Amino acid sequence: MPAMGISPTIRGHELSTRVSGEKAPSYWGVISLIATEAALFGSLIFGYYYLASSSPHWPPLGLHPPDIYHGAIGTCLLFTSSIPMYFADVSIRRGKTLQMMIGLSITMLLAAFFLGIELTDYAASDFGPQENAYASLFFTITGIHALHVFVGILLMSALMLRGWLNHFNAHRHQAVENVSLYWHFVGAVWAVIFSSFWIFPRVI
Amino acid sequence: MAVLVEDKLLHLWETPKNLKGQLGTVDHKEIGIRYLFTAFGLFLAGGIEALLMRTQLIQPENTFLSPTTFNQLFSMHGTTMIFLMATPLLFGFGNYLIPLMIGSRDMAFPRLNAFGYWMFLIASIFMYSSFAIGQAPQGGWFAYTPLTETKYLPDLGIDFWVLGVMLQTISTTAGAINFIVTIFKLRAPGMSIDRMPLFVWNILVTSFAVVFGYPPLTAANIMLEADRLFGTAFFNTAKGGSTLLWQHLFWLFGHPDVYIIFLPAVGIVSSVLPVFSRRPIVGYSWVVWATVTTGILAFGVWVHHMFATGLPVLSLSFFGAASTLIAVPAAVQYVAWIATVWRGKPWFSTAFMFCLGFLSLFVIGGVTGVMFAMVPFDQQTTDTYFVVAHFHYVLFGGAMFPIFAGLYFWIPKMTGRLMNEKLGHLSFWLIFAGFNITFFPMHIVGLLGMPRRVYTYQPGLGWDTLNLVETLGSYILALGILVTIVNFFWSKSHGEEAGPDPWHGESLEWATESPPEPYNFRIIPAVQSRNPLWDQPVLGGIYNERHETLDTSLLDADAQHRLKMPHDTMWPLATALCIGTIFIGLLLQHIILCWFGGLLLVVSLNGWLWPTPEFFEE
Repeated sequence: MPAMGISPTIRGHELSTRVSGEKAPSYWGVISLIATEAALFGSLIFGYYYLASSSPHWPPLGLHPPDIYHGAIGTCLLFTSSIPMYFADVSIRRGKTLQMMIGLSITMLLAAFFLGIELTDYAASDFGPQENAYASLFFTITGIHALHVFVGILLMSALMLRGWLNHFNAHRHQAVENVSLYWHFVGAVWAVIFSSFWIFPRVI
Repeated sequence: MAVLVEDKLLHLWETPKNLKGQLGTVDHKEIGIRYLFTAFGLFLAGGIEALLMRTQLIQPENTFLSPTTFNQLFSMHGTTMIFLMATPLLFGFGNYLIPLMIGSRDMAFPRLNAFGYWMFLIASIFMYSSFAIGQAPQGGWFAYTPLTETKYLPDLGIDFWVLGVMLQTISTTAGAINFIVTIFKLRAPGMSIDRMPLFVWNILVTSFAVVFGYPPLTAANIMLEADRLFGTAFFNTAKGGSTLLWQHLFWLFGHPDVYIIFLPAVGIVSSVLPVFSRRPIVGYSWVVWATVTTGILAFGVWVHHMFATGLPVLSLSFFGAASTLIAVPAAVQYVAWIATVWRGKPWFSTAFMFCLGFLSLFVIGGVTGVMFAMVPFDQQTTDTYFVVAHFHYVLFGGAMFPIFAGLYFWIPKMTGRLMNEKLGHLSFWLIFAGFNITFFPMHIVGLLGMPRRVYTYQPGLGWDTLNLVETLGSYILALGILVTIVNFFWSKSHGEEAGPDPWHGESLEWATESPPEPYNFRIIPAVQSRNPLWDQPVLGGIYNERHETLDTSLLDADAQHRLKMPHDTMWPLATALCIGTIFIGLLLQHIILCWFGGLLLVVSLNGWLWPTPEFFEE
């Protein structure tokens, strides 16, 4: 199809610079980052089930699956923390910085509690990562996830600082949306980890 | 008026020539050229390693190299060529060309682009510093456990390898994400997804393969380094670990990686062939679908690297069949290339010659590839020189020949001067002859039973003459590469002026000056065809005199917004250095250095992401 003639020339200045959501490049950047991170966790979990399938007992004899109550409480905290995060995201779209800061604070608090429970459980564990392959998987996979939670807290601290300096308004809030996407992903990954380490050994 | 616009754009987009400007540049063209230069340097390093090995194997029971040195050389040769040369070199083409081909003023994330290059440079220096302390990795490019566990290789070699590969993974992933977003969001208005140049399609599919293909390697590397540093038991069979787990994860990355290297390379072929055949490619949509299909199937064939590990028969049959299947999209593309040449009026330039070289060598590599998909054949030839012959036909024939074609095709765009055609043809014939003399006999010597990775062999096994021929061939090959290097430096100052469009190309990069201005296009072009320079007599477009590019919709590329683009900055370099510091800390098991690097990393990321005053303008 030969296209002829002079193409329509739009004056570039007529276009807006207010870009957010699915139209913003950084949104797609974060989605791609999440995709590659999901593949990383997927590969680690593949390792978990691969070794589980070749072991006669899972966890190996002498070890017990991690405490179900602590695990359940942690899971509740992390899942719940997505709600204030969502609230923060929705608030800043309406230009309400204070409400965004409140949402972020609650999310950070819940995340910190989650990490607290996890670290106490690590400290109270009667085996270390060197014990056997199961123990290595447990500490490595939950540890990498905990690192993600910690990074989430750092990201939210940066958002708090920038919110305090009034960097965001109803038209400029892509950073908040990006962190929010990341945070929901950290919660979603935990669902897979919790099912694999806490539930799977109890139902097989 | 027109001059005024250009001055204004130049003022906004130009990188100063001082040190600060050079360290802080985010210009995709500058970064692309750095990728190409650094990766070509590593190609020479990997090549010298190969020549040393070939010299050792020139005669039986040779004592030119010690067994340890030989192990280090083949490990670093493979690692260099796969991780530090092929992908960075092709990403260099991508960085330089993608914004030009899609009519944008830069990549979507110019600072991430700079960061990716610095990470690549740091990874390369990190990896090669292992030679300086005499502890280069000895585990081969796929670092199989249990050999690579501390018990068997206690020195720092494998730590250099694992951490170096992880650093390079960060670089490659950053590059891939940048390509995906750039290609999705920054295409010139009117360049709907079915009008994208094929090179752009290939980089897009490759980038998806990187996003999903590298994480299994990272997972495996995390496990191996944890085993080595902290004594975990992932690959320790005595404690319930599994050595096959490494192989599964490695090849879950490793096979897609073959296509991560191959797809951008054939993207070059799909760009060069039509121009020198003087017609559009035959079967554009078929080639696109074949590329996408290859990218997907690449994830379902990894077990064919493990046919000799005692897996269940059903698994072998499944992966054997899948591996045969992947020949179908390859054949579709192949037929499209042949048809393009057949229906065209070929112009036998050096770039075109390298494409023809690719077409002939890729058949041989492809056919031996199908042979490996047959499980009984694979079990006979695994770990012999037949395998070495096969993957050099695929990777040198299938990737390096297109890369040379790409260099001869696009260097005039980068330098503004044509390469010398006589030297180019000489170089082609030396490389083509040298390559075949080196690698074809490896098929035979492999079938005669010579295992790969042996530092020497005994006389009287029928391998002597063939090895001598291979070594002599490798010298011819090296000479051919040298001719191209001489050609480059000679042409850079003495070559004929190229002008904007020396080959009468069809894609948008030929609408820019050679070399392109810092802002690429005076007017952001509006595209109405798959071959805009052939079909659009007047390339109209969108005026924009600011430090901005256009944001367009994902499929149809309708102009949506103006995007403010970041200026030159040192933060990406600082961030890369912080990550480098953390990895040096891990290598030396120096925990304070790790914390120090981590703390500075937080600071530099904040510096990077902190908004500039422009952020607040409407």
